[in-house]
Amino acid sequence: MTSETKKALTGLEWAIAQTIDEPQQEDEFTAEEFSRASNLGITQARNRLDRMTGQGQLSKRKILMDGRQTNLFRKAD
Amino acid sequence: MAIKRFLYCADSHGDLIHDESRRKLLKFAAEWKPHYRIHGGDLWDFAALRGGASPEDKANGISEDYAAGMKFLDEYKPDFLTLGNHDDRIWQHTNNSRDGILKEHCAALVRASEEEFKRRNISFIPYVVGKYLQLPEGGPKFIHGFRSSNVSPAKLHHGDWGSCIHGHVHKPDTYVATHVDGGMSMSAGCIGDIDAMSYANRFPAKMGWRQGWIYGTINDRTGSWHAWHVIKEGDDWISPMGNL
Repeated sequence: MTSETKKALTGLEWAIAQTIDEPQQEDEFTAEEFSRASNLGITQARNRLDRMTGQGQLSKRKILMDGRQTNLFRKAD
Repeated sequence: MAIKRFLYCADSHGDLIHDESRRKLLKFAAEWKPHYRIHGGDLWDFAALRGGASPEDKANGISEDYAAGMKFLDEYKPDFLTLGNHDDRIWQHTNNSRDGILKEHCAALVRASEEEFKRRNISFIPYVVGKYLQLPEGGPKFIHGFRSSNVSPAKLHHGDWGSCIHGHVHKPDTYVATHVDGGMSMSAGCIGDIDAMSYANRFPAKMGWRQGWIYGTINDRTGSWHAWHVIKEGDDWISPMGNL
């Protein structure tokens, strides 16, 4: 391989590493976890979380979990 | 009339290459002495670049995968490479990624890869439905393959491309057309390690996958062609020439 190819590989590996999601933190939870903890159905749990996010009480980010895009919630700062 | 020999292998999948298949293929190539060697794509796996790649896939990076693909190119020495959907991931990110940094770095690897092919005198065909390889003497069209069904994949590809030889499905298959003009299409087995491709462990279609490749001849006066599978069954490598 040429030095240009090696350089391109190193650069791309770095770029790929930048796309790795930060894993779920201790103060973050999914809608499924909230549903279990609050004894609400999953749809009701999702609606409540969306409402609280809209009201600024929670913040939300997406990560890839088990190959699926998943919302993680945490108390807003 | 002279007979031109060709050899077609596909789906080596970078560092997921099946070492026994690699060795058998290279030995076969040395004995068969094809006029044309064709790699039918998925030279690399590029798992870290697929949509929905896991953090583990991404953390594994692509360097070992890429180097293994290039090592196989240097051993097999194809004249032609029809890029596959896995290879195409760097071209796809170059053209379509919404991540500017990833796009830029994929573009650099695309330029470097095209230069690597050029240095090795390999003509490559992009992974685009209307693009295919046809040898100067005629014979079948060579493509990587696009249809993912494992039910009669050769027939499905024949419906779209006419007489062709393709990979992609990892399942050896042959379809002989039933109209007066004849025609035939063939799906090749793979050079990648079937056991190592764990992403497909839940796909029943994987049970039809086999290690293998295709070799054939073309009549340089008429363009008519014949081809045969080499398939690993258990511990044996079966071809019309016998157990390799």
